[in-house]
Amino acid sequence: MNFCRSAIAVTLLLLASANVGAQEITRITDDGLIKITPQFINGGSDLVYSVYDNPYRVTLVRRNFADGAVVRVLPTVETHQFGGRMSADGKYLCWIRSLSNPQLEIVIVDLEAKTEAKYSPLSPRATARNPSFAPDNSRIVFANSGSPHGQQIASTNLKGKDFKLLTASAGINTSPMYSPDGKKIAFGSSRDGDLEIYVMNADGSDARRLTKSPRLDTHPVWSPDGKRLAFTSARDGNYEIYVMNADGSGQVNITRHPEKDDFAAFHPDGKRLVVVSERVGRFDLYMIELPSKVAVK
Amino acid sequence: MFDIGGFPARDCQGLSRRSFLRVGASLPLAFGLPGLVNRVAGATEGKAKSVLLVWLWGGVSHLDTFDPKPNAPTEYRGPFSTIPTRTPGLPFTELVPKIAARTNMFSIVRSNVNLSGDHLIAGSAGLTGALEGPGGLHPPNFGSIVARHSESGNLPAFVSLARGPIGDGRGPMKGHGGGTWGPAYDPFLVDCDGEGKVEIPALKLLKGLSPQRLSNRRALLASLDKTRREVEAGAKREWSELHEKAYALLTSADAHRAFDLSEESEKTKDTYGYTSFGQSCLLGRRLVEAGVPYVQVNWSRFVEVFYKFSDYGWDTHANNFELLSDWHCPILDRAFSALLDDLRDRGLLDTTLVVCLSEFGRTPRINDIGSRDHWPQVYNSIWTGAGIEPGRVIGESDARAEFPVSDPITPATVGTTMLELMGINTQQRAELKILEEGRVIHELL
Repeated sequence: MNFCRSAIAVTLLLLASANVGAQEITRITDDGLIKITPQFINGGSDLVYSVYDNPYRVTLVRRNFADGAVVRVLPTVETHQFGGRMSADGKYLCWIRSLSNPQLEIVIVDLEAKTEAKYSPLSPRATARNPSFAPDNSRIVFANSGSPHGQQIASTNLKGKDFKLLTASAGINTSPMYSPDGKKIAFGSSRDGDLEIYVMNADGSDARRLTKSPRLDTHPVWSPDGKRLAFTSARDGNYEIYVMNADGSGQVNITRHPEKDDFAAFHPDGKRLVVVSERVGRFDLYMIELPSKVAVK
Repeated sequence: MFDIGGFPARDCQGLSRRSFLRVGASLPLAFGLPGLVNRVAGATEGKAKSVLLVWLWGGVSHLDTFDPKPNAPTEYRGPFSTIPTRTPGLPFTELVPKIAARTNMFSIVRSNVNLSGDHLIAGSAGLTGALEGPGGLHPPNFGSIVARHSESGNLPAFVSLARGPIGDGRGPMKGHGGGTWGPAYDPFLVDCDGEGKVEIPALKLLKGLSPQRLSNRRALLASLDKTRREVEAGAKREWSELHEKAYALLTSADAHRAFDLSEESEKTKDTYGYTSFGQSCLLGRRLVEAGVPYVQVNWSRFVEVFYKFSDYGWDTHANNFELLSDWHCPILDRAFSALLDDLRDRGLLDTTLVVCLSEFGRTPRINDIGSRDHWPQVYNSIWTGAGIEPGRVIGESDARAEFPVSDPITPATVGTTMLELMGINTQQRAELKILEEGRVIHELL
């Protein structure tokens, strides 16, 4: 599949609204398959994401923008592969491996040394999901179930050791991500009732709520300069991508489309987002140019 | 594109009758066509001409979909907000907004119960109305009973849309088909992928017939001859009527058309969504429109979500809340609401009974890993069409959605209601020795 051909063919212009102005939207994939958790790597030249390309397997793939090539990141793994994340310097990869039902463990791959470490939750029923690297590669943070109760945010070093529980709240805690300077962690939590976006210090202290909408808010991701967060919100009746300042102010609906928009990822230039968008029943990756008032300067 | 066992069905027009009959002789009885065998005596007309069962395999969390309890303690209620529906006083969660906007089109039962918390046992009970009997044999599936009762022309009478026999990591469920009546009453299994491409797994069971070989006509005929020789060398069986029916299915243009989603408009296919479940719902509508008496649309083949080679069933022991919001509910919401609209717009709800349910609900109390386990003590089902009065709420669960506070609706009651609407009455059920203790959910009618 050729990226240039598919992208040019479906470049769209979202009409201006009072909130955000005109946006250019470019379709990146055209297979229509369900996709989750995209992440730019290599300075924006590649995109890593999981795609449901086989009835019995979600597959982690890497797409190169220059030639449109899509290759499997883990070509010999035949089980489901979720939550693939690369470290900022590209030296490490972590992903989620399914074990027994329903246990999920984190696999941490040192791509240079070609070694593998793992973190497995203690309970055979428990799961670890949504991993994210600290920018200095000192730790990974993730959503951990059964630790000691419910689903909390936790971290380990890159050997899968030195487990630290960062939250101990009611409800569930999910989708943590380190800020680009490593000092903060954004995450979703239902501690106050429904799912909202929170931010806390990297050691788990000083958790503060950033959103307060009547519907779910989840999947926060940081802009490259750490000044903004993109996230998914259902406050308008369906899933949309919003962007807000890191203190929770200035929340703006970026997608404004009647179908599902989810799993945003900032491009390294801070001016664009990639989003998994459902358009006429198909799930594809779309690049959305951010309006100037919310783009990183 | 409609493929039969991997080769384009349109190419079958030229397949010789003799060659086909040789294949038919080797077909497993799972090929189905039960409508031809031992039809129920004195069958009568019901309000429904077809049943379309949407089977959400694995166990849907009732609290997180159709029976939220926003005032329950935190350890019960879950993270989702409630939204109003078209029915006053009937909130759903925010995960199913399209279905919530259509509650005027269906009624919901909030007091279903099942006989077991084990998937295979509860699934079998949910689809047959009873537990297995002596010798490990199971009563027939509701679809098998309907098929025995019904005429379906050139089409199979009981179609199950799935990637293979439904089950869990331990194996297939016993209640999927004919049970004590034998495999002749098993469903005709059809696999529909996310693009609407249809395949029939049973034909793949023919020795040596891979999809790659079937794509080559010469290779196909060679394989058929080889199969014939093998069959003739073994015990001969005479299933001439079944052969005729199977031949008709594979070579009749009308029968083809029922399975061919390429004849649907892009707009219609878009509406259902390009997932296997979405396109299967569309195929289900197409099949009942063509006259198939019983269609079971399966969400997945396996109950498990992501255990090794499972296919995202509803068995959300872990990460229930993320899975429902990220994956399951958006797909269900789109496809099922599209199905309701499509059936209504085509006037099919007058004669099609639609039932949507799973084998059980999930634990109201959130488990120690922040998720929900099996809960057969109370769950939900959605009913519409064929005389079902829409907009009703039948039954009620308690304040924590743990137990019914009204008459429990058992699997036998579900099955009895289906059969009654299909015209299989008390006397006929008694003669067949099936569902003798069930009652009709008169509150739905």
